[in-house]
Amino acid sequence: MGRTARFARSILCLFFIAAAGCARLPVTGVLPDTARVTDLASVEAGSPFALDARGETVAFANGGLMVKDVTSGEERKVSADLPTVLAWSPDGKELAAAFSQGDETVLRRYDRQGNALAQARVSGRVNGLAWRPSSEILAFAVKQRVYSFGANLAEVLYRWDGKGEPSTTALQETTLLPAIAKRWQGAIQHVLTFAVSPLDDEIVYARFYAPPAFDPYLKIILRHLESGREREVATASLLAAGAIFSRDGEEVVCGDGERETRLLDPWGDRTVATFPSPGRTLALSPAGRYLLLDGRLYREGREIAAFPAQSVGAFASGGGRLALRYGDRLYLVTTLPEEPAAPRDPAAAARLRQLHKWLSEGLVSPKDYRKAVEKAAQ
Amino acid sequence: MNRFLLPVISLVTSIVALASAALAADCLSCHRQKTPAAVRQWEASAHARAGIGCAACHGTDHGRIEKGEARVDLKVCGGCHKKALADHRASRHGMGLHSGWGCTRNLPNRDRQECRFCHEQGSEVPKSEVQCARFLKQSSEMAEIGCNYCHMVESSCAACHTSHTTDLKIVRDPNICAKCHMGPDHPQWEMWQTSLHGTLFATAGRETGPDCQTCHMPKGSHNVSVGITMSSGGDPYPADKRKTRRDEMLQICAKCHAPEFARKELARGDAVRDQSHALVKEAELIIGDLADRGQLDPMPDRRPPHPLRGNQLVLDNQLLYEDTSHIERLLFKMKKYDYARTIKGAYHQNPSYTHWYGNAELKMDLVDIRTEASRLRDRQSLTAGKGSSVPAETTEEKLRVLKKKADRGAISPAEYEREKGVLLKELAGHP
Repeated sequence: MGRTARFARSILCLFFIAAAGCARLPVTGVLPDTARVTDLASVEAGSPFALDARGETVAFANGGLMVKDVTSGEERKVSADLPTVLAWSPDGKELAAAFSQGDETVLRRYDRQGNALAQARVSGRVNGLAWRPSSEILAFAVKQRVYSFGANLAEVLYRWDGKGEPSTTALQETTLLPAIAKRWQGAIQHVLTFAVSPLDDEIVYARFYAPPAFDPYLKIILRHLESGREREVATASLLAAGAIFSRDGEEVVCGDGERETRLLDPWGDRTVATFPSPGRTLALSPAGRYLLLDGRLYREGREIAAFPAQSVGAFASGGGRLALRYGDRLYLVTTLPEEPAAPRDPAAAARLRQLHKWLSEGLVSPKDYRKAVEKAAQ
Repeated sequence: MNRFLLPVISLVTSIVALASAALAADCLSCHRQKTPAAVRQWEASAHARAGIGCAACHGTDHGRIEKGEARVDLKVCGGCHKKALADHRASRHGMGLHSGWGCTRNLPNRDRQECRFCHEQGSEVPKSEVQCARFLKQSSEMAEIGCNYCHMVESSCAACHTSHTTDLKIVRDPNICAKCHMGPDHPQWEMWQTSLHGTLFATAGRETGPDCQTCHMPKGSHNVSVGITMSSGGDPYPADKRKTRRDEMLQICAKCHAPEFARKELARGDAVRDQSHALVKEAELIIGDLADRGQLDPMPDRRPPHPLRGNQLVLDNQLLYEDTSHIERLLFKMKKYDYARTIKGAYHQNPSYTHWYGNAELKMDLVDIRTEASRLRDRQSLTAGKGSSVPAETTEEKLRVLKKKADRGAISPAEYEREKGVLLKELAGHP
């Protein structure tokens, strides 16, 4: 980049900082006219945060678990413990939080007032939380046990209804050579994560794979929750942020961690779109219009603005708002114009879930599936 | 050249015979005491008359002989009896009988000696890859007596000729065949004996009543498969091979019968075989369908694994009669006993075996299988707690059954796609 271009970019950046109410979040490019960036709160560097469905309340970590009303600015401490993952329920009435305690994690559910409703203890470090409409929480955990001859690594999915003990599903268990275990022990705790499909019937998760005599890498696995059938859809370096589902759940967004991020058809092994960004952080707006990759904001497939590459974002599931953590600050980008996704007809959703299950079990082929989906869309 | 060579060959042969006889004399001094019958038989044999002594067949390494490592298999005999060896190898005796064996290396409590069924001394490479599940289910002792005593015919001339006698009277007598060709699975001996051919043989002699050797070993051939038009499991050969084999058999029949008479008789046998084969296939379809719907008791995944296929349903020639479900055991009887008796009875022109021991049993087996299938279906609906009526299958269950049928080849890929399309339309019609 030439000197003139750099100068122009800096001026543009300053302009947007000024236009965004003096927030310190560096932005390049052009955000939509209506968009505003607000400095929300001070946070622990690298800590989790979660924006509720309407984007009005944010939970984050700063000397404990904090919840802040974005409109009034009211902020309160919910727990003195630092969470490792946070997730609001789809209706915004409950907050799920995971707190790491040695080799275990405490899962807790809070109401909006910050009262603890239920608690459960699971083994391993929970790296991901997701709500299902049935009020069930899915928790993705990594368990590591180090021995003199290497390490035992397990990836586990817990299901917790907030009442009884969480049920456990082993996703993978493997033994790592001592050198691999020693070198990647820290990274393993953070790079392995998961995402739930919009229909709540599938997950994609990153599986740690360490082939003998080669560097370890991630396998991105699509798993049907009911049938338990799995399919490898991509591979990625340990720098990648795993994968997320597209708005309609028909595709998977996955970066290779090095060069590019792809929008993939997980059953047809087909690349639908490619983005020149490694996918070390990923977020997709609820109607699928905006995609945040490594700080770059794409609208309908075209890059329109860029935040710092290290920033991590999460869209409000109700649309229009994006929370961003950069360094030790949390920001809110409001009024991102997006038509809300059309609500899915429950009967059509049930048919799609049925087809997903059959597809996972090989009872229908990807071709049958696509044909059935096209017919349903007519 | 020839004038020079012939005396030399003659001289070498004489020297070998003399040396062999001399070595035999060494053996005899002890073996008259230890194995008197073997010595007596050898002394009366053509081998002894030709000066072929013990070492010519057994070698001279007494240690190996004592360990059972110097067995006289057909390669030893075939060194001299080349035509007999070639005929034997071209026949079912020489090729297909590996089906009575299998690799026992990974089975517990096995006698290491049985490795010789398939392996030559010191070789890890088996002589055949064909394996038999029923053999692999047996103990070493049962496998030796119950399987190998017959199936050894592939590699041992002694299976029919015995070890030391060379008297052709033994092997020209049909009684020698009865050791193996009898019993519930293939009673050729019994059905021949009580057929018109057999009764004429017993009453008027070989010139009037043909025996096993007359039709199956014509002109002293060791190829016992001449004229056979189906596999040992009763599956008809492809049309071109069937025609060649049929022509061979018609030539044999024509030595006594008018060709047209023989052709019609054998064609009747073909028709009985096809009709009976269809009944067996119907039974297999019923059982396959029950397995597709998870209605067998027990299902293959809840039994000890099949020695060759694991937890799969096996209805082909590797069908087991043990560690299986009742309905599969009924199929075993139907296929291995009653189907075999019907068709072999027909080709041997034995009315009772064709009808009462064969056809009637075969059809009663099918009645039993249909009834058992009905009971299993009813039981599943009762187990599901849905009353005595069979609940309607869901689209998913139908798809699952359909896929299982396609996977085991019960329906063609085109049929599978067509029926799957119909079921997917059902999905579109139901929320």
